[in-house]
Amino acid sequence: MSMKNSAILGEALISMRATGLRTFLTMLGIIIGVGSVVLMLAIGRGVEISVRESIASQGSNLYIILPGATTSGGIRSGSGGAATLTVGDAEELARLPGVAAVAPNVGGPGQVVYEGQNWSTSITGTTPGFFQIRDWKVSNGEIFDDSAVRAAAPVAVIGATVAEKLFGPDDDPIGRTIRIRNIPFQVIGVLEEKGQSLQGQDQDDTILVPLTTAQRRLFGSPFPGAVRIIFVQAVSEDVMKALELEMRDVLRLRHRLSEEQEDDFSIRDLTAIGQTIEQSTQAVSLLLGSIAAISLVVGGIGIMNIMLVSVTERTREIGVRKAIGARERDILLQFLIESVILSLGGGLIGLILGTGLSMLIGSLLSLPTEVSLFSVTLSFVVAAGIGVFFGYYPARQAARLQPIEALRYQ
Amino acid sequence: MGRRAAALVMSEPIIQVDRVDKSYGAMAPVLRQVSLTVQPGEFLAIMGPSGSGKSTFMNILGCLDRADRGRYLLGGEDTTGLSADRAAELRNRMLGFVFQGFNLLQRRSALDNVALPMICAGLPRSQWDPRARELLDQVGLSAKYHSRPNQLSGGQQQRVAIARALAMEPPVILADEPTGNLDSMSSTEIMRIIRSLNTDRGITTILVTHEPDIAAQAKRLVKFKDGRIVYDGPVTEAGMSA
Repeated sequence: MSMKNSAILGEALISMRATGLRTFLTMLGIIIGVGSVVLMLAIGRGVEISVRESIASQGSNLYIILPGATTSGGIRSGSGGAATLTVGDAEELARLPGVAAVAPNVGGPGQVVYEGQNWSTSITGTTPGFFQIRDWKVSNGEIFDDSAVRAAAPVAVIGATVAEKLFGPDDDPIGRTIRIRNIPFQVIGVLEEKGQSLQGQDQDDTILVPLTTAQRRLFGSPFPGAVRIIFVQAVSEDVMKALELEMRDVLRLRHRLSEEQEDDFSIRDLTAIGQTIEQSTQAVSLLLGSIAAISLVVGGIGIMNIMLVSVTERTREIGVRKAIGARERDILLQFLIESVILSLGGGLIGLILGTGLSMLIGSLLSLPTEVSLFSVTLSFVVAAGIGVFFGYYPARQAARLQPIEALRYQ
Repeated sequence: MGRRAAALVMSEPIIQVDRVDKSYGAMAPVLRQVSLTVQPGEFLAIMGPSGSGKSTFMNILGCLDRADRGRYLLGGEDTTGLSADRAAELRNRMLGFVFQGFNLLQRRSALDNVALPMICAGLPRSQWDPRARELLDQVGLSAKYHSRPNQLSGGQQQRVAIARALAMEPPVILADEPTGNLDSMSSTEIMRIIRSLNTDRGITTILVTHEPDIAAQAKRLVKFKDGRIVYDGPVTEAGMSA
C-alpha cells in the first residue's frame, strides 16, 4: 500500500493553487534567474558569432609567410627585414596539394590623387588569388585577372574608403584615372566594405594593384621578384598541420638552406590566432553566464524559504495526513513535487522571457544573438535541480514531523 | 473491515496493552504500568481529570506515540518498535480517528476529505470516489459532497470526520472528545452515529470524554488518575465517581 504518484501530484497542485500569488512570487525568482542565464548566454553567443565572422573576414584556413631575419656580417635584421621571399617561392607553393590559393604581396604607403582630391593610403600589389583568400568581392566593376598581372597593367581596385575620399558618395570611380605615387592607374573596381579588422584598422582604406605593376612601377626594389608577404590558403583545416611542414621543406630547399641554418622565413597560422581571440570572447560569455547563475541560486533560496514557511503553516495538515496513514515518502514527495513545479514552471517562463528579450536586444544592437539548445537544456536541468536541491530540506522536515507533535500544533 | 472484526474469535483481544510506562523528559511519569485488554466489539469510555494520562494513553493506542516500556498489541500485531511507515500503514488499516477539533483539511471538499485515507492507501479514483459518496450518504451529508469545511456546521464537520474514519473499514474507532466542540443537539446526533457504529457494525469503539452523560452511553468505563487506571468495569454511578 502506497499513495499513487498521480495522487501526490494532484495534492501538490491543489495546495499550490490555494496560494496563487505567493506561488507566482516564488516563481519570479526562478523566472528572473533562468531568464537572465538564457539572455546572457544568448548575448555571449552573439558576441562570439560576430567575432568569428570578423575573423573569417580575414580569410579562413590561412597562413601568412613572412621573410625571416638574415644575418649579414654579424648584424641580424628583424623578422621581415630580408628580401628572401620571391614570386618564384609563391608559384612553387601554389603547386603543393592541399593549397587552395596563394597570393604574394608587395606594398607600402602611397599618395593617391584624383583631380583636386588626394589621399594617403596603403597600396598592395598582389595576384587575383588575394581576392579569393580574403573572400573579398567588388561592389562595383571587376577585379584584375592573371593576364593583367602578366602584362603589369596599370589598373587598380580601390577600397570603399578610398573611393569615398577621392570620388565622394555620388561619383562613379569605374574607368577614371587616378595617380598613385604619380603613376596613372585606371580604376576598374571598388571593393565591398569589410569594416574594421580585429586590430582596429580600416580594412577598406586600401588600393589593390597587380603584383607586377607594383613591383616595376611603384616599389622599385634592388631585388626584383622579392615579395613582402605570401598569403597561403589551405583547402581545409585538416590539412593545415601537414601543409605547414611541406611548405617549410619547399622553402628551405628553394632557399638552399643547409641543416644547421635557421629558416629565413616564418610561417604563421592565422587560424590559431583567431582561436585565441575566440577563447577570450568565450571567457567573457562564461563570466556573463556565471553572474546570471548567481541570480538563479538566489531564486532557489527563495523557493526553499517559501517551502519552509509552507511546511510550518501546514504542520497540522501534515499531522492529519500522517494520522490517517500517509507515509513519509508521500509527504516528502508532495512537498518536493511542489518545489520542482515551482522551479520548472519558473524555468519555462524564464526561458520564454529570456528568448524574447535576447531577440529584442539582438535586433536593437544588430547582434546575432542565439538561444542554443544547450542553454535551453541547461536552464531546464538547472531549474529542476534547484527545485530538488532547495526543496529537499523543507520536504524532509515535513516528512519527519511526528504526527503527535503535528496534531498538537496550533 | 467491520466484517473482519466480527470474524475475529472472541477470545482474541483486539487491543492488548501490557504494563505500559510513558514519561516526557524529567517530568513525573504520565503513565505507570497501565494494562488494558479490549475484546472486539466493545464500547469503552475513558474518563479522568486533565493530566491523568488519558490523552497520552489514547495516543499510544492510536500508534501516534510510543510507550517507553511495556507491550501494545493491536489486532494481534506487536506495535513495539514499528517504523514510522509501518505505523502509518497500521493506522490506515486498523484505526479510524475522530478528533475533538475535527481536523479536516481546509480548502478541500467533504468528498476529498473522506477519500484521503483511501488515496493514502493507493486506491484508484474509480474505487474511492463512489465509496466516499456512500460514506457521506451514510452520515446524512448527501447534499454536501462538494462543501468545504468552512461551509459546514460543527456537527456536519464531525460527521465528515466520522465518514473519513470509516473509509478503510477499520476494526477500531478512536474518538477523542468527539462532542467537545459541539452544541447539545449536534452532540446527540454524533453520539447516535457513534453508538450505531458499535451496535450495528460491531466496530470496537474507544471514546475519551469528561462528560458523564456521554460516558454513560458506553458499555464499559475506564477511569484514569495520576497515570494509572483506577476503575475498569461497567458504567455505574460508583465507577463515575471512582
